[in-house]
Amino acid sequence: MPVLECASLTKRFADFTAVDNVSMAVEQGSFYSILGPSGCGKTTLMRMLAGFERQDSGNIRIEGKSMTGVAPNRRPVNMVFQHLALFPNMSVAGNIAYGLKRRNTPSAERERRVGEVLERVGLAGSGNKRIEQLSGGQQQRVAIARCLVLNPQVLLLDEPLGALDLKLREHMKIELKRLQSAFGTTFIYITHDQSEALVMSDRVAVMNHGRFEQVGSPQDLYYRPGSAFVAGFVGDNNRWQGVIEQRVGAKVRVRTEQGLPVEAQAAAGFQGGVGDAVELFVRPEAIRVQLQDGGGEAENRLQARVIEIVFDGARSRLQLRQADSAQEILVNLPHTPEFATLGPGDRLYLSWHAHQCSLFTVGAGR
Amino acid sequence: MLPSIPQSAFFRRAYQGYVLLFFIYLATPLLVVALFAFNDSLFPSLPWRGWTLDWFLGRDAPVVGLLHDPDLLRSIGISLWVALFTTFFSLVLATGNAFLFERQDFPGKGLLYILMLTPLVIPGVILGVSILMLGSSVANGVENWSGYGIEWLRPGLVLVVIGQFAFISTIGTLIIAARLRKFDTSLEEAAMNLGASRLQAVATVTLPFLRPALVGAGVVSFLMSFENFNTTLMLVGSDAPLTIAMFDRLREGSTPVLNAVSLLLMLGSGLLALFSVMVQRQR
Amino acid sequence: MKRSQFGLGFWLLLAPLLLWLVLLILLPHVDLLLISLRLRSGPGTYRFSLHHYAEFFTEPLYWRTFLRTAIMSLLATLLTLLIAFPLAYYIAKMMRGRAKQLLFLLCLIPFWVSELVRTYGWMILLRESGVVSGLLQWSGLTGAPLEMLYNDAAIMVGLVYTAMLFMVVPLITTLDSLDDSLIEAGYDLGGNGWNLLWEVVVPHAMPGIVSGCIVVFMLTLGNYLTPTLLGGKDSLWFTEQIYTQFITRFNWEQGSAFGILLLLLSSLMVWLGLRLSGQSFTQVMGR
Repeated sequence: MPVLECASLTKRFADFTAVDNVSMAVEQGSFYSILGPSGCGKTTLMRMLAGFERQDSGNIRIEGKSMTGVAPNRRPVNMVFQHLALFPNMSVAGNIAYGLKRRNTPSAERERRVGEVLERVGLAGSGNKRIEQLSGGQQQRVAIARCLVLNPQVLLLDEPLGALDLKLREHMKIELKRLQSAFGTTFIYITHDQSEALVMSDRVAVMNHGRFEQVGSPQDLYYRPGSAFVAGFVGDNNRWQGVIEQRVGAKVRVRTEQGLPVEAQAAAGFQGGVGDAVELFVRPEAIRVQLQDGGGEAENRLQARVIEIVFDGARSRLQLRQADSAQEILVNLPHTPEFATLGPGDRLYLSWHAHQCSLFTVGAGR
Repeated sequence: MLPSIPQSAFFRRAYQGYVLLFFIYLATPLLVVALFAFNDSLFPSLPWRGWTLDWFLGRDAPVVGLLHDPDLLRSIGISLWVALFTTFFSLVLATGNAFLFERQDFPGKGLLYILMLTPLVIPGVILGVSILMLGSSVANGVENWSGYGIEWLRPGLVLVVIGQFAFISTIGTLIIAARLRKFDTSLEEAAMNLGASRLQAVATVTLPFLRPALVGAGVVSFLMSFENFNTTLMLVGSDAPLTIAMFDRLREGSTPVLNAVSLLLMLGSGLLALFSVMVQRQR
Repeated sequence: MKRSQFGLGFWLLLAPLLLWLVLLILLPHVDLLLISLRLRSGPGTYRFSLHHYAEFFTEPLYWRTFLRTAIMSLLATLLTLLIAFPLAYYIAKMMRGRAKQLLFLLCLIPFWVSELVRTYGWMILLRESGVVSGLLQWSGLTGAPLEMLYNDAAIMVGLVYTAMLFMVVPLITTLDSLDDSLIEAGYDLGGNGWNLLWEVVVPHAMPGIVSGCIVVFMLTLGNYLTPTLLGGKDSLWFTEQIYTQFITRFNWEQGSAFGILLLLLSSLMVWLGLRLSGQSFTQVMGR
């Protein structure tokens, strides 16, 4: 049985629907992320789980018990706030002991458990420090320890890495994942950063306009996006508008607006037929780039010239234009020696497989 | 206790009721004063004898309206002048202070800052009395020594202005310094980088930025001076500003002409408040 | 940006500040102290003496008035805090957006009006022929006109009313700066309203509480208008003693001694307030 279940949750504010008929099931001990752009309703959803917003309809169950009408301080969930919300007037240990005190835990046991959890998050001996003496990453861990010491059924995390700088954020991603598996607590993590979601999660729900677009493993989202929104939001993509020219079973040929013919493979359930407008996605890192023709058996093979090299270290990109159509194509710059002297105007050979394209009819499934 | 945290309906109602009661408590005395300005009675008390404008317009004793009461009109004039002078001097000093405390570092700054704040914790009566004493001491000393009398150091309007200036400057300094602290000094550097002199940069960039604070501090200073009682009481001579004149009449028991003056004061203060709010809004 | 430390501009800014502080704040109070410590020994000659302080302690009327003023001021401060805190919390934390702005402004409006007018309002309300008495008679709760002026309760009502603004504003400002998520975090960790009030809200609001209390106490202690008008002849407020010595009896030495004593009391309370709450003077007042 899932530890947390929502059924048809809906929350409306005066002029818009923040959460629209969302259902979800979170497995015990998993790391579940809700990924979406700002304003997609993910914070409202999380605040409903914590009890700070009341749903207009639908139901939340934790361990099978309905949470309707249960106050935030009586729910078996705890929350790590976006800006952590550590109490500045209490020491590190005071913050962690806060929830235990509310449960009237005897002081000897309280001290033991505070010491224990501090050690587990790697802050042994910091109990007497003041909050502002800690670094950003340490504060992060205190905020998590403050919740985990209460052994919550579910830990909610509201973009807790948002305020950290890039380096620390990369580090904390790994650290959070490690903490989660060490404690075995169920984490529900909301973020707008797809990398955070992909790195840490067992399952990710992509949210947009108050709805879940797709729920799946990080690999599912990346390799098999379920909607144009997911394909565009998770990872980088070439996004082309086009029309279906030919369809034989799963084999589809699309001509892009710029006139490039692309062979694609329709996913199961793809309904489009000849003449339908579609959106086609190809990941830049899925396209093979060569100096000589040698595409092998790939269905899509073409030549293009370099317009611009966008240098960004390991993430460097090439902006190309196909010779016949005016179609622009974004690919990764290979860092092998033969590409070292590449410059604008140079000719390259591109190839990719039909099954590496994602295809969506325009207007369907948003 | 936040809107996001569920509360019992009873608690919510009770809390709202408390807030409502508070505002009734705030408003009642003022409403009563305003209302009785229109009571057609010789005393500002019940019973209600019907509406009248006599306490503004009346000419014949004992019903002398505000517009025909030379003493009250004169004291309003005096208060206006005192307030104008106090405001002007306080603003000039406060602006200088703000620049000094926000932009300069010098030995003894912390001590001076504390000293600058002390007028906030000196009771007004004592501030008035101490300035009265010093004025008299100096005047006596000079008179004994040279036979020359310095009249303005004796109780009177000059001393009233000095006494009010002594503590109103602190409030002005705090208001202006708070705004100056928010000023991004790189704007001044940019102005100088574009060819302005230091003074020009301050005049063209910094002072316009400070304008809402200057207006705010000006309005507050003006009202504090106009309404000041404690310090003024100790320093006043034969010319009585409005608050002193009203106090004297209140003790003797007066006609509702005092309500008329009060209503006028409320309207004046309200307009000033509105004006300052609008200036702050512009930003 | 800080150029040569002591240029002309620096001295031009420093000079008026020093003149103000030395001539209008320091010297007058030193003078007040010196005058309080002298005794007229002949026409135009004085000698050092503690006579006027001894007078204060030996004359029961004086020290009793002093004590009474101090205790009533403390009580008024406490009452103001108790009344203002729930209101400030409501405005800062329960209200949002424009309604909050409006309510805040509404709080300020009465205080744009002179203290004299406000006190006058209470006189009209509370006097024998006043509005409250009239309402009580009309409703049949009392048969005869009721005099509610000229007693300690009337003084207290006036003092609390007059001081309210100086409590409400710092409270709202500090409570407003308290991040909602701190309160939510407390609830989330199992806290309830009562212990969150004491463990999160009050500690955060402490600077506001202290500065509000200091200013209210100081203003109440130094108030002359309200006790005189609402308390009548028997209000026994210490500032009235000071006024009497200076203006009526022309006994400047005695008046100065009283002034110094009142100043000592108010400084002591300010110091105590700061010590007990662990705040610094510049932090609390400089806002």
